Amino acid sequence: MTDSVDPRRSSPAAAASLLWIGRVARPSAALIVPLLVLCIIIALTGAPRLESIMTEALIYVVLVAGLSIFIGNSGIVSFGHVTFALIGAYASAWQTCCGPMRLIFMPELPVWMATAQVPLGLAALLAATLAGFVALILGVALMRLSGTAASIALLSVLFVFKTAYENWDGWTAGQSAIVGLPTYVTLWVALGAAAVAILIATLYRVSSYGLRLRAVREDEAAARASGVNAWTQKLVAFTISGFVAGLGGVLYGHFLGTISVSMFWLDMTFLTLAMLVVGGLRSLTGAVVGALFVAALRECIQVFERGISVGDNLLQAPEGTREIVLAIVLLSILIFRPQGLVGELEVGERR
Amino acid sequence: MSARLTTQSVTVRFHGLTALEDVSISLDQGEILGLLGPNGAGKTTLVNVLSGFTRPSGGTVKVNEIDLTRARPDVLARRGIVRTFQSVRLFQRMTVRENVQVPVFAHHAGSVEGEQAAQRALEFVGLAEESDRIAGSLPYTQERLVGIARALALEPKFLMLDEPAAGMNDVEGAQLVELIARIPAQYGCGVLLIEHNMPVVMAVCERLHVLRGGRTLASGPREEIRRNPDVIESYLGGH
Repeated sequence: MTDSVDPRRSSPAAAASLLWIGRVARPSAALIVPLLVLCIIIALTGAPRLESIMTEALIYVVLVAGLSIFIGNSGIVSFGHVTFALIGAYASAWQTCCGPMRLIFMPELPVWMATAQVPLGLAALLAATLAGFVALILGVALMRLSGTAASIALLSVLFVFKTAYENWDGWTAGQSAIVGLPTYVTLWVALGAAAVAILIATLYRVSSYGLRLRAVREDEAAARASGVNAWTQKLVAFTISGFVAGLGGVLYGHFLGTISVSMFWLDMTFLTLAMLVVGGLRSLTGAVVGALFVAALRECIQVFERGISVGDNLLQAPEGTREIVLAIVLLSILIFRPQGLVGELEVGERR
Repeated sequence: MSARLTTQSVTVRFHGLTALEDVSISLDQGEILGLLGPNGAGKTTLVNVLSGFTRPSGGTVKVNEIDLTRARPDVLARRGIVRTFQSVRLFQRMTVRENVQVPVFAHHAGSVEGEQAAQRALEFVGLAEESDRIAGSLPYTQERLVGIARALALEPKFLMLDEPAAGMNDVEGAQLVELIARIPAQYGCGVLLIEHNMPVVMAVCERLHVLRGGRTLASGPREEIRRNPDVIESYLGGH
């Protein structure tokens, strides 16, 4: 026996926090490092088209990770999370859009906001925080619901906010697009944001909050009998996932350089949900894998939609093939592998 | 200080149907009270009232002088009034340890003492070895034991066990009796035991409360109940 100072023995609290850091770091790294490697390979090929595909895919990783924080742990399928992307995107536009053009697009912005030059990173943080705050307020009422009732209520949130933003001309330019957002979202910015989203989702999952919400997911009555306040736990997850989805919206706007209300609508809702279902509803690994897989699949089909020349002939798939193939993939997953590609697996986690 | 859980004239009606009428019981910390009665007598309804899942149409639930009639289930659980379910209701896709950690985290968020409480509860029911298994993969008897450990992890003052021995064979039942009998000494809590199996009840309960048709039929020490002609006629009949 030696008397050397072993931190694990000298202080149980220090040992516990070391253990906890490991429980966060290992699974996050197991997701982030492969993404990093993929990005380096793509950057080395130097193909700008490939780089932009990957950037967009990483933005979807952020959106789907946000979705997964709530859906994965609560078991409630949310049809309303794109609302938070919408809120985030517009809130960032209010702070950073297009110099003097800002008042032309959004004439009713208060003067201090119309002239503010918020640093881009801070603007993104504030915009995502607003999305999280709106989630908190909505959640106070909505998180009393469970199961299908909650899903339908969340769908109605999507409708309400779309209508509101489309008619709130002075702040949102109504149904027309706002163009000229600074396009700072490069491959590396998107990778950084995806890493942050993965870290937040992992932190939540391994925390006692995540555990308690999963207990509610498994059996709400038994969770309540175990002292868990189901409403509080759902609300915590909903707020955090609103924040991350809001961040995804911010990135999307600054990736395309333009936003409109119709971008954050049913297409994006079902695409992100399809990504989560394909990967695995109850796993963060599933969220990341699903987002990348579906994004890659869509790109492949789009190549066919544009047409491939074989000899003298142009092989061309009709427009809309993308949606049909996506639907077929989704249905096949639901029929043959309803737990998703990765199921319950979390990479880097010891069970 | 020793606490006492009481109901006073609890009545529960569902759409004109009376499930419980004027039922008064009391449970002291440290004792085991048996709750008997044929199917439909209102035993589970009474547990639902005590654990906050059903609000009574009349009457009160108190711990000492504190009225808890309208408290939510999670609040009651954190205050030490804890139940198990007849159908167990484990968190199926979580490990045994996680199942027992849920109440611990609900009580004192993630502290070292909390981890120890979870470990103690698993050791008490003899399932410390199985703590990494997925709850849904456990055999039936062990499932029931995890249910009990999950309740004990809250370190209850009052524990209500809703037919813990249901579906067990005689040997398993006997082991469970031995376990339940040790709960008051180990955890200092009062136990309300709902059970059909008469040998189990007679073995561990000093005091019994018998319900029939939602009303109290008899209440008192074990020997008295055993000789009570009403009880013998209506419930212990064929035995």
